[in-house]
Amino acid sequence: MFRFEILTKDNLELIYAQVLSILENVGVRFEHQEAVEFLSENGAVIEKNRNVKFPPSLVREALKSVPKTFFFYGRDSKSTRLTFGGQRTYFTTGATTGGKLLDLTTGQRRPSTLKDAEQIVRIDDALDVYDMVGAPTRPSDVPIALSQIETARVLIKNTSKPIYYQDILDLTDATYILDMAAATLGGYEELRKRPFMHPSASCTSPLIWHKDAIDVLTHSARMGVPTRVVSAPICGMTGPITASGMLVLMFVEMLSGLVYLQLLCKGLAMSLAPTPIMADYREGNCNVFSPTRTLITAASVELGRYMGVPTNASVGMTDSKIPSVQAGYEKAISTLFLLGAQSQTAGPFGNLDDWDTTSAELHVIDSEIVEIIKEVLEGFSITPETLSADIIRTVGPGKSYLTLTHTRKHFPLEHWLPEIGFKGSWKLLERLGGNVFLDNARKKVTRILDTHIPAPIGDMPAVDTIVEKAHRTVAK
Amino acid sequence: MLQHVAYEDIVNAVLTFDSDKVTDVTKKALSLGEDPVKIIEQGLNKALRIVGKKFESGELFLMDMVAAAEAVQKVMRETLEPEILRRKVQRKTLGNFVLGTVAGDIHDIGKNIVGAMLFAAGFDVHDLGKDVPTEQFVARAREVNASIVGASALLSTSLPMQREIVRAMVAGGLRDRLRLMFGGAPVTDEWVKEIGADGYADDAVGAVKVAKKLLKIDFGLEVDGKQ
Repeated sequence: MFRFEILTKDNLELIYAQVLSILENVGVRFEHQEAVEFLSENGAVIEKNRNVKFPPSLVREALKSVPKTFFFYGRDSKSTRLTFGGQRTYFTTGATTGGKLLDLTTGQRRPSTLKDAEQIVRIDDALDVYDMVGAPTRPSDVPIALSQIETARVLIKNTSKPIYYQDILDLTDATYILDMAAATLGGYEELRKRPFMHPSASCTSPLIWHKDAIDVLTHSARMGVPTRVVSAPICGMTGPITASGMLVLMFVEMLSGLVYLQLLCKGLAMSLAPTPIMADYREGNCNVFSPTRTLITAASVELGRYMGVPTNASVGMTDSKIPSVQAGYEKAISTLFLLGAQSQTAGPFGNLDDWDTTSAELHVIDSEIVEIIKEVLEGFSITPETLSADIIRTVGPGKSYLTLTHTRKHFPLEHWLPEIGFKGSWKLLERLGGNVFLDNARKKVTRILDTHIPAPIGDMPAVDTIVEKAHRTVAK
Repeated sequence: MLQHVAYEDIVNAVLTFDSDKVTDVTKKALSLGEDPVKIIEQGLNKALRIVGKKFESGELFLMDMVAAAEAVQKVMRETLEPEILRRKVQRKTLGNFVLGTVAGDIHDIGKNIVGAMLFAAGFDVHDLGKDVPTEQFVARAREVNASIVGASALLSTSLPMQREIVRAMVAGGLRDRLRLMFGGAPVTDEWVKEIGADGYADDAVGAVKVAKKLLKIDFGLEVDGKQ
């Protein structure tokens, strides 16, 4: 396993010291009166304007009580158990907040629908390389106030894999969505034993927790579900322009949320999601790939590990708007380095244009990138048989290995074959015509949608009842 | 001859993006007897046009635009406007421009750059800030007799508020008396046409061009901003 380590022990200590210093001397604003009062009662220093300062002792205590590892599951009792804080990297999908779908056949980019979301979640469910699934898009054919609740139902219904991500924006979303998760398993006690959702909320950089975000974190913690704290500053805009500055700001923000949650529910399973955003400094739009971002993300994984908290990175995204060479190298490069940093997560895959655009074909295309990486990580076997000494002697000089039984036997064991990438000749390509790569992706999508059925779920009527209630009561 | 050297110095000061330097050079020019209005037109505005061009060509970036804009706004606010008031001279303006980020949206970096560039181009900019209720756009437009109202939205969920502004202007009887411009990342030409507004630009430099174009087309006036 290759390692990509950026920070020395001195670096880690220095950055941690900076983070503690800023938490103590600058603070983070919590726009949530109850949270502020609670923090005050529990040792934080409150200033005017609800600015909360955290004494280092409070932070250290909280870091001690956070579990170094926790288990995460799919809703299906037969699904594999994942270990957050362990050695493995889990590959994730989804997290498209923009709500656009790129139709690779027509090249048209259009608003996505619930049906698109359903199909893509099913595809993610079918593809073995993806360990966890996220909401693939924000469907536009649902009223905004209900879009996350409807998306949660799509996720629950169409995948039995752990649901890593969806936008849970306020207390209403959190209440309905966790109720649905609990109902699927037969109650909150069951959900706490085998959590398959990992609600998250993000600080608004720089240094402000908005009320809705704290409501989501609070509710998730009170329900006893592993909770994720996100910091996503935009480099040079809502965060420092420097890589190390971004690192400091992200950890200040995330630790402020972590301390709050640990005070609320000591020992709550948690993860951190440092999510640096880059910018195109001409149009001011967000970017998600650059060498700097790759470095910041890798360093943040190291820092999280140093602090003893499961830390999830988002990588494998691209700023390319279309499936292109740029998309390929941005996804592959960022993922590879983060694997070297032993990131807990890699992904979300399946998107273009940072988190804005998805398509079913993209999810299968990206799954090949992941497959390739996983194949390489598995290494190769070294046995008397594979060393082939006898074979080499038998074949001798100048002859062929092609006809051997040994070749036929080991071929499928030693070689990965792409379903989508094209490996043939110019002659074949010309004969096939069209865009073979995209055609292959489309064929795979069709095949999956025709044949794959997600594992049956628990109590679907109970989940439907909750969604119907949301339709009646949630403001449009 | 001294005059032209002073204006070049001001232009060069802005191009260092150093706010203190801009103020110092401006004060020096004033002390040499230069006309504040000419300092604006031949010094500051010229500098911002150069900055705008360099931004368009890819030589400068957003942080440079912001720095230049802020340096100019600071010297205008603290040094030149008081001087103009004191001397009771008139600055030619192209009209009153009411600007803000729509209700429910707190993004304002782009809007702030637009405001500065409009200001530098000669508009009187009334910046309402961010998360501005629709009624406030209407009220201020009425109060200052705005030639143009511009609103920014950075979230796609904020887009409907731009439509609301158009409706509110119609309901308030102001629609025929002013032009409406919208901008922001999710905004497109098609959207702006769909909601019945007049102009769209994708960056601050474009916004100035569109704003000037809208007024020329409608009123054929550029100088005193009166309707």
